[in-house]
Amino acid sequence: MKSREGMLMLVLFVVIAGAAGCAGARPQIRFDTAKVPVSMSKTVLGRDGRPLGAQEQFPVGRFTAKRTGYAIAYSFAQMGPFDFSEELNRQVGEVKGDAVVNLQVSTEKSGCTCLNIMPFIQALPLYPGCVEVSLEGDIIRASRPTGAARAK
Amino acid sequence: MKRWFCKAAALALFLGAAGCAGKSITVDLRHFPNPIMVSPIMRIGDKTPPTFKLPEYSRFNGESSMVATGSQSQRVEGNYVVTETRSTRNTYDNVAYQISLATSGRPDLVVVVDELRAGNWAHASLVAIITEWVGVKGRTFDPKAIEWRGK
Repeated sequence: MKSREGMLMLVLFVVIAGAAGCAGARPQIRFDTAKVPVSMSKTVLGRDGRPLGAQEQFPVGRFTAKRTGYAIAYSFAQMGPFDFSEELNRQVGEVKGDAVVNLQVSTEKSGCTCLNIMPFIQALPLYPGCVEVSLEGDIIRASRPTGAARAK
Repeated sequence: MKRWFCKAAALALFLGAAGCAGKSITVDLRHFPNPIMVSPIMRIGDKTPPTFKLPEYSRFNGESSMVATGSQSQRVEGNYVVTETRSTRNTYDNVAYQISLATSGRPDLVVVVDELRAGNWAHASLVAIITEWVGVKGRTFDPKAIEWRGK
């Protein structure tokens, strides 16, 4: 008897959980048209293909970008491209950088957390889910920057 | 009505604990001696991405993730309704470990990231579950395998 009740509870739980659905997003972060190399570590390859040591890298700025990716159909259908090349080329160009190193990728706690967790409404396939992604890194030059570039 | 209010308050509490601000998951690979390239251009000064004339040295697939859960139960004790809210938060990170395995201590290898994905997923019914992750998939190459097409 008890096992039957337990089974019924389990079935009920699965039915309710399934009917409640889920929401989210999982965009692919890309740099398809980036004009400079981007490394997630402290190392980047120099003009001769040899790794640049710390003493050969001159930081000239910070690269930061934040974007929200959306999806529908329980996060299976991603909406829109998620290419950060434009922001990267602009920010690197402003300080005349040669590369980005130490790139860190984060998901942000944001309004998306609250949007994604709407009980039962998220069961609708067209209910959107989202994720906020932030990128941070150091813009460097391979040669010692001039005074003006360093000031930025 | 009162019961629904309690449930809503518990969910709000859980969301507060999970947080609607700040960073959730960060992939930080700054300590690696290998270049870990996410852009098609892999060398300073190049205008064209390189090609690979030899097969990769190794492959890797790692993920950094966080799972938070919350649930609530109510029971009557005498004249009181006792509401109990439970929440957990677990983080898991194996991106650095997978890259370490793939490079097997060789600092000269070039790590090429083929897929960098960040995502989340949430469900709320009898329990609330929030999961967030950053996934990194890629290959490592011996420098001799890279054909620079360059400038």
